[in-house]
Amino acid sequence: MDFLLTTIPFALSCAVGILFMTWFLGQRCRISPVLRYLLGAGAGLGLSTHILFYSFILFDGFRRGPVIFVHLVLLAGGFFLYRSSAPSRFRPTSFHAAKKEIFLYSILGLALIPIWITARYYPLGGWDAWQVWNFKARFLFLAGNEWERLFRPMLWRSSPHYPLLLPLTNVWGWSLLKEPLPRVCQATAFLFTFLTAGTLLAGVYHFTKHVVSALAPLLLLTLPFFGLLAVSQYSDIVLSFYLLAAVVCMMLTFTPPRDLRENPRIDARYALLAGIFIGFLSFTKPEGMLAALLLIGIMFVAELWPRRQQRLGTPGLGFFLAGVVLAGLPSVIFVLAYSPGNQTFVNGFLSDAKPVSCYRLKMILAFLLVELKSEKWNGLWLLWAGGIIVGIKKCFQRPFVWIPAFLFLYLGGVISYYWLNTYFDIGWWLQSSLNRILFTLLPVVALWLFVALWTEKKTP
Amino acid sequence: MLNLVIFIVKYVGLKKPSLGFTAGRQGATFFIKKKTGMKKIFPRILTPKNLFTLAALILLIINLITLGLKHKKMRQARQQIPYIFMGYKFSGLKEILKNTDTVGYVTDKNMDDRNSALQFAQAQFILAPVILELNRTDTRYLLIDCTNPQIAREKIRKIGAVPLKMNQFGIILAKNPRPAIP
Repeated sequence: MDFLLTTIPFALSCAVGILFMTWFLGQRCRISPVLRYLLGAGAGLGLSTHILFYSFILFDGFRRGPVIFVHLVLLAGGFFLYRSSAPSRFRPTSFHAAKKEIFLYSILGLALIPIWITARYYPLGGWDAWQVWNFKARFLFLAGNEWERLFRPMLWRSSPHYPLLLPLTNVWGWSLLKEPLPRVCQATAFLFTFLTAGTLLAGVYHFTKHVVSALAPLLLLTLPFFGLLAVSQYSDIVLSFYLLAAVVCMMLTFTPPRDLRENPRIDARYALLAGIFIGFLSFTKPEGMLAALLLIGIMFVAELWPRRQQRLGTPGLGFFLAGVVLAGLPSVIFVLAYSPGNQTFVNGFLSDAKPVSCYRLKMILAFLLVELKSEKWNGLWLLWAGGIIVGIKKCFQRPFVWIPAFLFLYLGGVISYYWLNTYFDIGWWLQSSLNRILFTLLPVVALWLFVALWTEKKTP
Repeated sequence: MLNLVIFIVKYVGLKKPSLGFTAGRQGATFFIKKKTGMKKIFPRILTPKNLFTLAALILLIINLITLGLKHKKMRQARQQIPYIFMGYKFSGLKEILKNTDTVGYVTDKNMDDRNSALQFAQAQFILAPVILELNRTDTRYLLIDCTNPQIAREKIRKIGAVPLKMNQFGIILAKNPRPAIP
């Protein structure tokens, strides 16, 4: 019974997201149903956290009734829109036509088994799970109308300035239960791992139409360290998913379908989706906020780039910004009204006690290199480096060049922060967090390399 | 491999063939020199994507081997030492601390030590939404977690607190008769 009560909230979120996504993308949707469902499920989960966040503000605490009611209304609305827009969409696809995809997703399903087994070894996750993410979830679930005590500076060990997407997802998972069972946090981690791997496979397959797409998620899921971090119940896998979803939607925005090639305006629906996923991304972690800002910047630079043939135009850019504002509003409210600010921050440029130094920067850069070739990655970063070297022209061609630009700027931003914030001993800090920064980037790097290497013709 | 090459050479009907290798913009390939020119045997066999796929497949095999070894190791480790969550030491206090805002966590342990920090973090997790404040002594309730009972008794005496309960792990719940915060 508990299992059913655990799955119902997540199933409800996924169903709402999928119904709205199918309605929104409409008849001329050019992405596969699987990719649509995965993006829809991710958007639905993000939407649930927003509903919860607003309910906390409105009702001053966690109130199950209104939250479940809003979800049921959205489900009914989504179903109505789905049926009224395309009643005949339930047409079954023939097995023959879909056998390649069935084969690929079956392999993915098999690769998720070791992840599930790993999750069972760590029922309460890793250190940050009980100190930060699950602690916050328990607090929000149990504190009633005293939930704002969570943002007291004295809880600096639990990083009260971190956004709440993962804790609120777990609270939503507990909404039909009497007590906060740890298995919900396990299920959340597994669900986001599945969504990340599935979106990676579906995304690569969409752009390449090649069976080699299966290799991209397989390389990640079979890597023991990736599996361990994915099921540690940290927000990194959530960040990784929303980053990947945003990048996939931006790629769909930048590569218009063949029948629209003559039209200089790009299909703005994917721009809106990209904006929504960027908004969700900003609510995952401070690193997510940085990534979101960079992606927004990249969208604007791409739009203003003088030699681009296809443009979003003002309405398209408006769609994108509308998505960002809608989904990014909770992040803004959180930062302005609730976050106590980073309690573990010392500006090394202004501090006399802990000043920045060249040695610190050198150490960060050296540690990055050591980390990239660390045996915990089994040589995965060397493989990515090899892929870039052998396909350097393809990797940096026009439709994809913004991805390495983003990665470079993101890593640059993270390195600058490590250098600037001198609160922590840099050795310990790098050791405990740099691997997670790299972990969150893995799916995007995999998507970039596989799509770039397997794209035959240069997309105009 | 040699037989395969001889077969291909015979098949294409060359009298004096010689094998070669070239690399270009479209990738590397093997070829046979003919008097009239070159004939490709394995067209574009060493293209960037083929090389990348080969390397990825090798890495996948390495991943699968390490994954198997890791799981075996984890299973053995769990059989020897079952999963212990130190926070459960504090779970019996939840009912008593139900309506409490903040509890002082008084300890003489070095919190830079991994195990001490771990226990504090897990206690905070289990007792949420009660906030544990490290070495604060003016709260109504205090959790005394010391390296030995004598130090714990000494701490309680110094604060002037009244011990209420001690669990099997030596953690004492004490009440402060003159709290500054509830």
